[in-house]
Amino acid sequence: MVPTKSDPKWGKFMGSLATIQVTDLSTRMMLNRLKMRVSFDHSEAARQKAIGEAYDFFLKNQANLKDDIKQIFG
Amino acid sequence: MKSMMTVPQAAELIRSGKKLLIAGDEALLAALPQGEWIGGTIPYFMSEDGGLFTREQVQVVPLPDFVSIGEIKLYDINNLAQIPADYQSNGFAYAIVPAFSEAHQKFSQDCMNWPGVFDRPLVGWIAGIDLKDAGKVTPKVFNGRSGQASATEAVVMHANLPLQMFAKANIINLFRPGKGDSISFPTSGFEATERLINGKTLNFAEYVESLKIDPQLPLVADYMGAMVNVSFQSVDVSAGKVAFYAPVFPGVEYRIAEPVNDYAAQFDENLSARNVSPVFTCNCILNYLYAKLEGKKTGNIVGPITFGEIAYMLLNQTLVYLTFETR
Repeated sequence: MVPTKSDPKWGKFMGSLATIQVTDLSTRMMLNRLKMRVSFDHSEAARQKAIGEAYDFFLKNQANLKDDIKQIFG
Repeated sequence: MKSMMTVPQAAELIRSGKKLLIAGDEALLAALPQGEWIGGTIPYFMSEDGGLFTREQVQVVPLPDFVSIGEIKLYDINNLAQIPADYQSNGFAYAIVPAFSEAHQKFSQDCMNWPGVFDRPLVGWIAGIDLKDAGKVTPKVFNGRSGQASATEAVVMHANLPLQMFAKANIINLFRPGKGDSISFPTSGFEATERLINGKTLNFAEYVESLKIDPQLPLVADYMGAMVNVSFQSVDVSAGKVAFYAPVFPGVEYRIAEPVNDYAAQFDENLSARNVSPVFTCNCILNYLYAKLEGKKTGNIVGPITFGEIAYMLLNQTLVYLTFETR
């Protein structure tokens, strides 16, 4: 289940972005993109944009990425 | 049915309405009739009988009947970023990009930042040529539906699957980051001059030369567990430049790969452990050359040997494969 954007799980997600372990190639590459972006831009706007992108990605692919979503959000 | 076939055999499949992924010499692809196919030039293949060079046959991968094809479209550098917007609702996109073209450069530098690029599997390859023709012949891609060929644009087949299925892109990369220095790059690009190595700025060409680094070993970066290679094209110490077959990116930590002993055997082992039956695969011309794969089999894998592999982004020295899964 993908948490709503206001769920505190997204804060934990961003805090552990560098060490999240997932298996799907698309998830790995998407998370790597976010990790690179927020490493260059530490602003709250960049953080919120990253959450928005991840939320959209998981929502569109939740039927195919059940294992990765469970691994990240429980 | 074996994947390697003559032009008349491939033409018969096209006329029968099959949906096909085709690779081969330009003259052979140009002789095929219009239909539901997409193609790119290359004379190197992994066939059922092993690695093969031929300009007499094409390699044909038929898609299952349950696959429906949406658009087959050419994209120039101005609309490449629209590829994800054209993704089918439950499908995959299969792209072929001509090597050495502006589309090749643009795709490889920008695709990671396209909105929605990871929303559906994007797989494919970089079309190439007989290495003996380097500088004389340009790689081409073909839109079989329209009959168009291009040396400057990417061609993409947007395919859809039944709702109970989904497509999945994956890679097999036998290279792992070595225990050597951490290498990073301040800007993206296919060339490197000054680079940060363990935090110190050094000339990268001199560094490679001084450590006698084997240029057959790629730079490897860990993308959240996915190992992504950037292969060396040339090292020019006098000009102080190193050229790569894919761009390096700032903010990514690279290391020179550990050597791979007996690529074919390790590949078989890796593939067997996965227990997959790919719909499509492609492998890199550098693996073909460096691991001397001509005549050798790599598991039951068949597909073009390419000038670059695409799994969302441009990869080097990597096997890309696409599978269909059931929900």
